[in-house]
Amino acid sequence: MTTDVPATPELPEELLSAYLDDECDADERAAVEARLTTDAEWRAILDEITETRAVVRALPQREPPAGFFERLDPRPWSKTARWISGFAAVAAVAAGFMLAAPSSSHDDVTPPIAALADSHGATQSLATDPISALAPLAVATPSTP
Amino acid sequence: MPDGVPTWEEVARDHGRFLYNVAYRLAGNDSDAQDLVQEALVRVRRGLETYKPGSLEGWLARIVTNVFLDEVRRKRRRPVVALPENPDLVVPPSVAADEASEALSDEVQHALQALPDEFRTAVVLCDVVGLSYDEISEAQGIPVGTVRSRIHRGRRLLRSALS
Repeated sequence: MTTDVPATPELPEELLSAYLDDECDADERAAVEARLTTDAEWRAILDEITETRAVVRALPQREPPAGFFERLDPRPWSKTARWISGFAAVAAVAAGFMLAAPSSSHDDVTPPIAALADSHGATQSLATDPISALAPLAVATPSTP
Repeated sequence: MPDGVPTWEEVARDHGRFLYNVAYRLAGNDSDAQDLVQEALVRVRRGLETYKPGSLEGWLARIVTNVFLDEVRRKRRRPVVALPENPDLVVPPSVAADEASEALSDEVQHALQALPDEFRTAVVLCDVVGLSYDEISEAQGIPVGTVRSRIHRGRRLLRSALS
């Protein structure tokens, strides 16, 4: 004949953090303390999370950059407005560069018509009629009977 | 403003550093922390109209945490390709006199950053801000049992990362 022994409810390990943070109820606290007296692994885990919590709590206060809060704008649209104004500033600078940069003169790219005409004229004056300058064709002349 | 309710300017002036510190511990870098604080203060301005005097810093911590979690969700929807990690670029060399202490802080911050967002948030709210489990539960809209679990698992992961 066997007797039923009531099973000890399994304690979740996360109770250790709750125990450390004093976030357990009385029953949980008692159960954790009972387990700690018999379970070396739980004691080791408790030591580790105690140390870890201390390290996080010891993190120094992080300071914002100088003047950060003076620059803050509480208006909801301020972030969008900053983007828009930033974009406008970039566009203005770009437009300024385009206006200020030495523009490529049309004279630089248009063929110098006058010079070409003069050159062409000079060539023409020196050369003979191109058609006439062609080598004479051998043309058979009709023989007289 | 009703009695006990600060103005926006008073919040920014008197609690801005607190907000910034929480934002930095959640985000892990100055640039994101600044964005979080900016957005949090926008929400503070709207929220002050209905704010009931109580734990002001608890309320502020909840706001900045919600801003952070909203940003996390937004990034998850639109993931970006991360740049190759180069710790030398991310962490400027420490020149402070208390170099060892600063190096330890950086190490702890890096370990915090490596935690899943939900665990990091729970650990920061508990151990940096000092909220109770009930307050964290309310702030995040999750059961207290989940808070317990996230804090404990977060600490265990931190411990592994730091050892």
